[in-house]
Amino acid sequence: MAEKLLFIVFAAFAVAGALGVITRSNVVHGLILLVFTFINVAGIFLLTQAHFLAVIQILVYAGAILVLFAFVVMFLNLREFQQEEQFHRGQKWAVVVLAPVMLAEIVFVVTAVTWSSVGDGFTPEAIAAQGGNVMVLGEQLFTKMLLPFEIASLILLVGMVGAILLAAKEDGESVCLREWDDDDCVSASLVEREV
Amino acid sequence: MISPSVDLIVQFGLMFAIGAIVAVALITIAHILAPTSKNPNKGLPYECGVLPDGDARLPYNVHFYLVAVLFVLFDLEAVFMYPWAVSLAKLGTVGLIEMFLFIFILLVGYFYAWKKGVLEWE
Amino acid sequence: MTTQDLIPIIPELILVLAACLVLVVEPFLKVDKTANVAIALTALLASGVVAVGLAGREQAAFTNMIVLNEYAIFFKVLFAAAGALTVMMSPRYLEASGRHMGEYYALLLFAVVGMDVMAASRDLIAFYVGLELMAVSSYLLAGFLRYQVRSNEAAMKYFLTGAFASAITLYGISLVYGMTGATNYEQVGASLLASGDSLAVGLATALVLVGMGFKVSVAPFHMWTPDVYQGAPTPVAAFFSVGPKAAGFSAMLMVFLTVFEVSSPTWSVLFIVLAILTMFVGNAFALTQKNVKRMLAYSSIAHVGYLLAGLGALGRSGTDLVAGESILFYLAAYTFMNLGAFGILAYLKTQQPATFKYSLADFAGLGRRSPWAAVLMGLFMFSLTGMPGTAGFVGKLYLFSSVVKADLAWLAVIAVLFSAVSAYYYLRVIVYMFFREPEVEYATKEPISGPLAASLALSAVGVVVIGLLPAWVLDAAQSSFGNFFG
Repeated sequence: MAEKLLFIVFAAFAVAGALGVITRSNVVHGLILLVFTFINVAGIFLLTQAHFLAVIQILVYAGAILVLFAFVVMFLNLREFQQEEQFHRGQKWAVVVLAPVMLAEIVFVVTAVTWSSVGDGFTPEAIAAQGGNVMVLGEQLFTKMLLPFEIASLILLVGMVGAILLAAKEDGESVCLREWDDDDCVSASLVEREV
Repeated sequence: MISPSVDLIVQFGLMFAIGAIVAVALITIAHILAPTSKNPNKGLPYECGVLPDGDARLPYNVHFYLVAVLFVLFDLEAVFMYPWAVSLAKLGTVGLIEMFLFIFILLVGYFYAWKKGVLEWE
Repeated sequence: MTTQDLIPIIPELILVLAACLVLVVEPFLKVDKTANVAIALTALLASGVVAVGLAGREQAAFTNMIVLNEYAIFFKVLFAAAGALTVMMSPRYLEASGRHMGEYYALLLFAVVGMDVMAASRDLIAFYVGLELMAVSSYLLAGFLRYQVRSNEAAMKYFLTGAFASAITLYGISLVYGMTGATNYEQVGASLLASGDSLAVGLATALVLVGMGFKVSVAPFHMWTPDVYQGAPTPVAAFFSVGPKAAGFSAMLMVFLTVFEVSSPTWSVLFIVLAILTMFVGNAFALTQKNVKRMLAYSSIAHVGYLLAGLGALGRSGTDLVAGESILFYLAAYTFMNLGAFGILAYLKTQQPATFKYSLADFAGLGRRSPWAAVLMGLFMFSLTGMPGTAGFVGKLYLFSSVVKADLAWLAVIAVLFSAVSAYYYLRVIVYMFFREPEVEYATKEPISGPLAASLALSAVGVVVIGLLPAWVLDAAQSSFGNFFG
């Protein structure tokens, strides 16, 4: 009963927050509402006994990822951004068609699919008997899921290299030794100044 | 006896209530106690006594973003360490090696970033 | 984990170590990046040789996450070859565009690792992380020319569509996990077979199909392809058109044969419909292109259409895997001819960085200016058309006859008709090269760089050898499936 009540509260807040995110024209307001949504989603994770996921949700999404978003917002020229039309005219009609389809699909998935996620034997009782959520997750991650886990580190490494490659400051002189396309070639110093 | 579900709602309720009370109380107390000044100049941003000029929200150097991305990546790395630390006793030496392999790969990235001069601030 | 588990991934370990080495060495290199080119090339060759050396072993590793078998080895060798040919054609091109950096080779190696994992995986999670490793590396390669707007556009479009595609695939995977509680291909497949086909299974099938359709540019999910290929550095476009595409097919073959065995009637029909649409879109739009790089992008979509016809046939033919074998053969043949064609483009761009815009007019008089390049381009165009004596002919012959064997003769007829249409835009390039006079005189040419010449020569040799002596590749493709149902 209490779980149900809390779920309704968290879910309602999360949906309300998400609606706010897409309707605010002020990006900073949207950002703060996004944090609010993330925290409520973390609450839902808590209710489903996914404690680790809840902590990650706060730590990584409401924390780190939001910092990233905040930086992106700071790059944008907000004044100009607010004046632009936020929705494409054709987009509205697409929404009218696609949203019901999406809703029907979600209703179908929730109601008609026979779920059997207990196939691996991970019932809440079994998890509790083995020492809890984080314990079981750690064991799985470093035994059964070892290969994907190590590949994940490669993905992180590629991400790091990519960020440096695309955003790091390079030597001031023109990077294009030969100009190929008429206006496609910009000198590095010019780009850095624009930023 | 209180049933577990009622217990849960009491705990959450108490937490929310205390949080809300503290937040509201702090703001209200500050509002009451703080000396107020009606001068409109009080509301202006402080720029060393000079009248503020232009937008406060200046475009940022892309370098900040780069540091933020690196922070997210290492944050994700740290996230993987929690379940590892909890279950290390069961995993034993193999678990230690596996985690060090993971860290080593990211260390390559760290070394690369360092040598590329990304962590230096001019 | 035991040390035994490491044997199946030795080729990947070599590549990962080399990529890390490239990253560590890179900051210490000033202008001359030869060391990193050498490291990357050596690693790719070593990984290919080791993969060949592992042939004959059958082993599952990392709790059945990935396997080592003939199928995985076929693709490991193919990917190593595609990677090596790309590395060889890159240095001069990147130097000419003023951005020759070692990270390029590291990203390429990581992409190949991801592709290897996709082909070898027997678990949906391993498949997905392999896909992501390949994809993230690819986005960065597309945007490697950071100061060129088109390259930025390519990276942005590739990233956005790729991210959506990954999400859709993942949605399908999560549905499958929800229904079966397992991620291992065989386990999931068996569990779905036991519970029978249903609308939910069909939905999961369609989601994975659409997600992967984005990745291998199936129409109507192909919109990003021409822009990305046009904007990406030419060697990278060459790599995209063969590497990630072949990797996508390697994973699709396995996933649909094992995981979605129960819904094979659904997906074979879907593949047949998409095949016709993709062949139409690819060929029709290629006809109108005046830009050869864009034309090749649409042509790669058309080739995906032919391969999809093979996948449709595979779903129809039950335990007969001849269509699967011919898909593998076609991918091998396609790798060489397409890498060769893009290689010529890269060569011409390094010759005339300022004036060469990949347009058809730029090819006028090439037969006189650089006869060798024109002859090789002609060979690759003939092969892409499917002229007898080239790899493209044998590939299409096997592929279409396997479609006929699956009682889909009408589909094979459509495919042949579209191939005939494709002759127009491939042969037009040849007409321009040999029978048109250039509007402007071009400056004297620089000597071709050694590695680029080697890359072109090897591609040409591949096209001719596979065209004239297809038996050994076909043997490899056949043994890839070995005792698949056994």
